[in-house]
Amino acid sequence: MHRLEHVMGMPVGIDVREDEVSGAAIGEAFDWLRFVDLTFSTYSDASEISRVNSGELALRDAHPDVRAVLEQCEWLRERTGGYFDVHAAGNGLDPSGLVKGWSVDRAGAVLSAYGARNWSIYAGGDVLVHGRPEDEEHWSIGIQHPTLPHEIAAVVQGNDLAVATSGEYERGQHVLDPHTRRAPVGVLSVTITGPELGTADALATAAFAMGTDGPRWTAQLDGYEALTILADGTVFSTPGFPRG
Amino acid sequence: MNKAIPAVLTAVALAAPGAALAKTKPKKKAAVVRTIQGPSVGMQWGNIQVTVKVKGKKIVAISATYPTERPRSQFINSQAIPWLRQEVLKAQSANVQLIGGATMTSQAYAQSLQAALNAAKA
Repeated sequence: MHRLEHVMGMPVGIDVREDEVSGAAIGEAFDWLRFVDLTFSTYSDASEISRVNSGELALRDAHPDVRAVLEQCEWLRERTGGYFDVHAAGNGLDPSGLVKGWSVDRAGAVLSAYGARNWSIYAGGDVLVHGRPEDEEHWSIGIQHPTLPHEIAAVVQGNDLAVATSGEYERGQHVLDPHTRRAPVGVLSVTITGPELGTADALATAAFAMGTDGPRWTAQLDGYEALTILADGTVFSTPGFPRG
Repeated sequence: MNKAIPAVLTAVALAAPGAALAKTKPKKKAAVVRTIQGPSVGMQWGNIQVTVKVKGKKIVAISATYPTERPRSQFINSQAIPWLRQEVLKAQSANVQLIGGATMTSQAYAQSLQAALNAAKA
């Protein structure tokens, strides 16, 4: 069963291949994502994150998930040398860059808790897969070419894999280098694969913000692999990148 | 400027990005052509709805309705849809279940299509 909903400002698709559990599992996964939206939306003054930013809610009184996400953001800021920075926007904390992937990781855990073994979640260009489709050994995910919309730049395969891409073409967002507050030059897109979508997404954002220094940095990541497409058409991939 | 890195990184030219997609899987079964409509999916210029015609497991035709109310939408989508159609057909030939890193337009398109394909399998 496949269900599509618009949540957290983007289309999210959940596909569960075990029909006996899919309805309930998908329903609860979407309930979770809607809860995350209510809690973390920076567009709603009533969300916990907005109330923390306005000073109305002390961080110690916030929902444990809010504190956990902000702690992970801080850890990622250190791990990326400040290139992933939830303070970068300048209007208080905006952990959206982690929340999207993190909430999809948790949605996947919901599906697994229901006994689903073969599923995929698609959230605004990022993908989390588990198990495999029938008749296939792996899930195969095409990475859209950053400049040729009708082409796929690479195919990645896996049975338990998160795939996050950051680039100029992603949702019309502009990733800025938090150090210079300018858009990075010379890089078109960075795709990161690994076990967790939240971390993969944050690492992709950071590596993209690094511009042409990104590939070198991605080579030393532990547990995560990278494919970087530079503006001159060169593609760098780390040795373990799960190309199909 | 990162040409010094290939000791750790693999660098390949992107001259022929479609080349890796040549592994077409021929799955031919004599079957009736079925028409399945995907849901209408919102994106920033309006809604996209994809219709696929499926013969057995093979896609034989893809069409899409897309916003035409505003001149800007019309321009963007008259450009985008033919490309996207090609993208999806290539994705099928590459045996890809999902497409990552997509733009808003193609996300909406891919989502509607994905749902139509799932309905086709059911």
